Amino acid sequence: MTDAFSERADHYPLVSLVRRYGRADLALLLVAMVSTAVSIFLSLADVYLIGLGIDALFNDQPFALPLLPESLVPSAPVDLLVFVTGLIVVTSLVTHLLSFVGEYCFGLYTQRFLHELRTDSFSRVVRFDLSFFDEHRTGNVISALNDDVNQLDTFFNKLVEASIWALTTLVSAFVYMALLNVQLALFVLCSAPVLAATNLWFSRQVEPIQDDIRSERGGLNALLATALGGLDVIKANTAEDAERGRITRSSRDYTDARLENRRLSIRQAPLNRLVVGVWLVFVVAIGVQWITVGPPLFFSGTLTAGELVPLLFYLERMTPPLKNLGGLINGYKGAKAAAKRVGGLTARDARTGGEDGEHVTFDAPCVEFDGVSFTYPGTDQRVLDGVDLDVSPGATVGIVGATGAGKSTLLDLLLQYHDPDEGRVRVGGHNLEDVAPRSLREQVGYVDQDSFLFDGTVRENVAAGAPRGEATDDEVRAAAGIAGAHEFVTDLSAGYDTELGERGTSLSGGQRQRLAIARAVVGDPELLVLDEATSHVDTESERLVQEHLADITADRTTFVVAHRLSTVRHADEIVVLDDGVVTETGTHDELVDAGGSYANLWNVQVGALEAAGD
Amino acid sequence: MSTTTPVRYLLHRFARRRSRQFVGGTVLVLLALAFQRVPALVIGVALDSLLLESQAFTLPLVPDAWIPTDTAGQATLVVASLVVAVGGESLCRWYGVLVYERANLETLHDIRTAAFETATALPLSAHRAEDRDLLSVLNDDVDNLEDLFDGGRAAVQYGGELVTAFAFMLLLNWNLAVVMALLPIVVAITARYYAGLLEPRYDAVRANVGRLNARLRDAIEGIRTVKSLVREGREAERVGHASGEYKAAAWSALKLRAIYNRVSWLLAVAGVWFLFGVGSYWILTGTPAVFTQSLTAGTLLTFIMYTFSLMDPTRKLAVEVLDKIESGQASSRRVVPLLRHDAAAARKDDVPPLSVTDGGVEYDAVSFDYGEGDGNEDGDDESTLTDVSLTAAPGDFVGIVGHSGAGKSTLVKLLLRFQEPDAGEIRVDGQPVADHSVRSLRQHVGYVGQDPFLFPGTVHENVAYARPDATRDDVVDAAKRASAHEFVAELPEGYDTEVGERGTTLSGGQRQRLAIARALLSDPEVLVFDEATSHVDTETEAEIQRTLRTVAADRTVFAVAHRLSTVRQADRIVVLDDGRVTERGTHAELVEQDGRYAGLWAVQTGAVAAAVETSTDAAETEVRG
Repeated sequence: MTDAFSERADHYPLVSLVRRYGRADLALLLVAMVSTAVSIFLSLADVYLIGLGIDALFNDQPFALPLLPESLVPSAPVDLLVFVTGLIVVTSLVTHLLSFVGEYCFGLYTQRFLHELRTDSFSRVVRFDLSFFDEHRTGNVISALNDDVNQLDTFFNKLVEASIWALTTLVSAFVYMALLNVQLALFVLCSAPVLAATNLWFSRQVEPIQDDIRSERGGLNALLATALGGLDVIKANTAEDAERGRITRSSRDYTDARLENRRLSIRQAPLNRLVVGVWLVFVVAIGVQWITVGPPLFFSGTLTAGELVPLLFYLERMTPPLKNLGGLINGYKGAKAAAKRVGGLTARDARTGGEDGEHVTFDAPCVEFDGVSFTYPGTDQRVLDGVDLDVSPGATVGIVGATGAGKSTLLDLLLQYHDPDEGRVRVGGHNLEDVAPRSLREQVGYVDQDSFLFDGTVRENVAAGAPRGEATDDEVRAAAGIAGAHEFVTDLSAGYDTELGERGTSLSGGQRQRLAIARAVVGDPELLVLDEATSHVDTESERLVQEHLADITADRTTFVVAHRLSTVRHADEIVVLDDGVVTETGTHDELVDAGGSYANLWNVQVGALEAAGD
Repeated sequence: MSTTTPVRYLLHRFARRRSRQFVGGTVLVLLALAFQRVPALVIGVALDSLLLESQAFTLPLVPDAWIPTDTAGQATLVVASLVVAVGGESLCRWYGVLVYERANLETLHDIRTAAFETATALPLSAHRAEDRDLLSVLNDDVDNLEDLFDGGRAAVQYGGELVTAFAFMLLLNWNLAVVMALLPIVVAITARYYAGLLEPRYDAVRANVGRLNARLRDAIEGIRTVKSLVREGREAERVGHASGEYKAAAWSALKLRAIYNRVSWLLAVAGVWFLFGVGSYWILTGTPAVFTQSLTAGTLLTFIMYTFSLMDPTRKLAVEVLDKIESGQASSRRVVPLLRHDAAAARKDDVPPLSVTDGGVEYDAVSFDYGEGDGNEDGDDESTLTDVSLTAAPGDFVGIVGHSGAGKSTLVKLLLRFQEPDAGEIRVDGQPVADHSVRSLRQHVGYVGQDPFLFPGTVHENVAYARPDATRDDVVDAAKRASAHEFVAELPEGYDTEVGERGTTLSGGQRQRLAIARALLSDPEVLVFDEATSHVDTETEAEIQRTLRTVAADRTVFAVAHRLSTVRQADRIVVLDDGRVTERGTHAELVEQDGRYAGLWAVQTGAVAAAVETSTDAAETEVRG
């Protein structure tokens, strides 16, 4: 679904991410990998040493260890025992020390790497041009920044370590077995392909069922959500039984899919056990025969009890890594896909403008739209088609029209979110093509449709509109006063220090709108752009905003996109857009008198339907 | 009724009917564990008697008479026992887990369907407080109950592993077994201590990850605002800060884990060293003073194997299993209260059906309150009503207006008996609705809710929702009456077009007209229309107004309005304020009266702006003060 991002990624997305981020800490990663591998190798040494000890103590074999000078090994049984125990103690200590170093370095590296990846990719993305966000659904962008980065977290935290563990365990187990008895080790090694094949076969069988489970579960969740969301409709239509039937069927499908999955996957452990068991039986049979009678079949040489017993241990230890092979491969695939999306998201060179261009200052500027046309990239329908508009300094313009008429696009061009395909927009006489968006936006106050508020206090939210986000207490209060927000803010539990946003107090639509207005005016902007809320705003808020509008728009040029005509009734000029074309302009009274589409809309709004009808 | 614990309630009501499977599965899994212990034991014996020839060949629980005397026979016996053990273990584990898992999943299915059934049977008022949670109870908590069964099985399994290992150890050498019993106890204590230390750290990680995600989402969803305020840098800084906090929290948990892993393995290894040291000394120099038994090399080996295998189950028992059971218990505490509603929710269908011919409606001194502590403070449209009386003659169009929270929606929901009034009576065609069946009432009263809710499915299925067997003609007829036919005909597949979450997206106005068509399908004598609070564009608004008036021609209509234009033409308008009727009359009468309705009307037509000068002055004084 987010594969729109992946096309821009490299062939080895994980590797290229590692090369891009956390370079300073690569040494940590190296230390982590090496010490983990060595510690796993050493952790398997104890059984080997015990085996040697058994042989030396009970079978009178010499205690011979590779790399260990013979002269160091004592010969008296008790001394030898102490020596072996000491050796085991030492390897254990080293094992755990190294393993600790490995885990520590892994953790540190991962956390630093992810922090760098997360902050860097976010700060790139947030600077992308708005056309990027029009092209890609915000949900996908968020999920790449969020879920995919988190998936990489799991990858580095668990999967890399697990792969090293699996690989080293297999190799070390074989090495120890070969040290004990090469022939038997090779015989045991024959079990590895069988085990690997069995387990891979399993994960391949189970994988599609897991997709089934996910989709069944998704279906069930959606049904439950729908049923609970539409409970009033269900009850009003006395359809409780039908809904119950649907849910029961869906739950049954989900249960069946899970059962199928369980039925398959619980065969895995016993089957592993069985394969290993077969080899165990063979090795015991061969070993016992070998020790008591002599080498059976094609085996030759001698075998001691101290060799056989550790071998059996190592045989058992080969199973867990093989069992997890499928999981490791899947995890790697998932991480690769995630890395592809994250890498692809940030590797693009989207226009990140803001600084380029002339820095200008305005004073209640005039605004001109001169034959402006605009088509969204990837579509072929003109949203704006030759729009001419001439707004005198300090005037208030109301823009009305049906959904999709191009009202919000007009504002987007004014804020330089997009550049017009044809024609030009001039603010205060400056052609916007030459103006740095940053310098323009710093002088514009903007209230969006959703009255978006940030996570933070009321004060922080209002102050965010001031240059550099800094405003004095008095400025914040004054702005709130102008927007008609001061009263309800003082009624909040902590006044201007009340936390808003997900964890904070929830405000009504009207209250949010008034705060957004306060934020827009706190910096005393020369140009104010107001996109009216489409959601229901209670009458009280509507009244307050209307009452304060004259004050808000005084001394500055103002654009208001209105969905409720009452908002623009007193505007200096009203522009009616229809399908990207300006069809009517004039004051409220002029337009009502003209009896055109504005007059019709007005009649609908005041409930005078006869006029609106035919 | 609620004396039993939630877990016991679930077991009693749902798991008991499958107790044979649960118990059978558990027994088989335990049997597998016993088989699992055999190889180590047999290998130890083989080492002693066959390879080192230090002892006679004996197997615990097997009479000596059955054991062959020659080496070849004994070797065969060793191999044969291994074969039996491996085969037996595999078979028992596979079948035991299969039986247990099936019972487990079937039980969850039963709980899920029973919980949903209860949820639909509950009166709507009960949903109000729990609404947001109810979905997560049905979704997540029911699934999460699996932890209870999983945990139970794991507890039996790991506990069983411990017990069987000990049983074998006791059989072999009870002296040493008693000494080694100390090890799991120490491990369990440290594991619990660790879990206690870890929990707050994990909480911090979860909280931080939530905050970080919220920050990210916030900035991306509000990207227009971010850009208009030139705040890209600030937002990047904020995300960096949140990410830094998350990093610190995660690192703190990781560090603890790294340390604990060392400690617990050091414990295990210390146990083995100790065993090896003591055992070797015991074998070489004879039984130490405190012990009464002799020890062989083979026994020692078996003990070492067992000691290793004790560590894992102990740790898992102390951390994972306990956590699982706790998490399952937490979920059961959320699921069971819902299930216990059952008796109360029993539906009374033995009352006579309502017979409606004209559709006259009377509210007679109706009062309603959401009961103690249920909280009215969330301020949505569901508020109390006090002493409301009103009469709608058959065919009347009644408009209901007022502020949010004035009780408008509550008023109409009482008519549909989504809730029952505390006092007073509602009558349809002179019959008290409380004395008649809910089902019959709702067949005569159509309902269009605030959120024009569509189910995933085709247009036809949605319109025919109340009567799935309705013909296409019935559906088209209803759609025509709701002015929906025209736009439906233009959809890619007409009435077979998929709508709802995954289907074609319809505009708010289109959804609303489909909802009206759905309500009109059974041609109800009374129609309740709760206007959408969200914005629909003016043309849609006009169409819905027109539709409503056509529909109102031959039935009684109750319309809750947020836009006064909707009710301007109503036969009577009722103004609610704080649960009381404050004004009533036609539009013209009410505007004339110059009361609250007139005020609302002024706002809607933008006439208030005339008063701007004075109120601005007031606001400024307020700020200065």
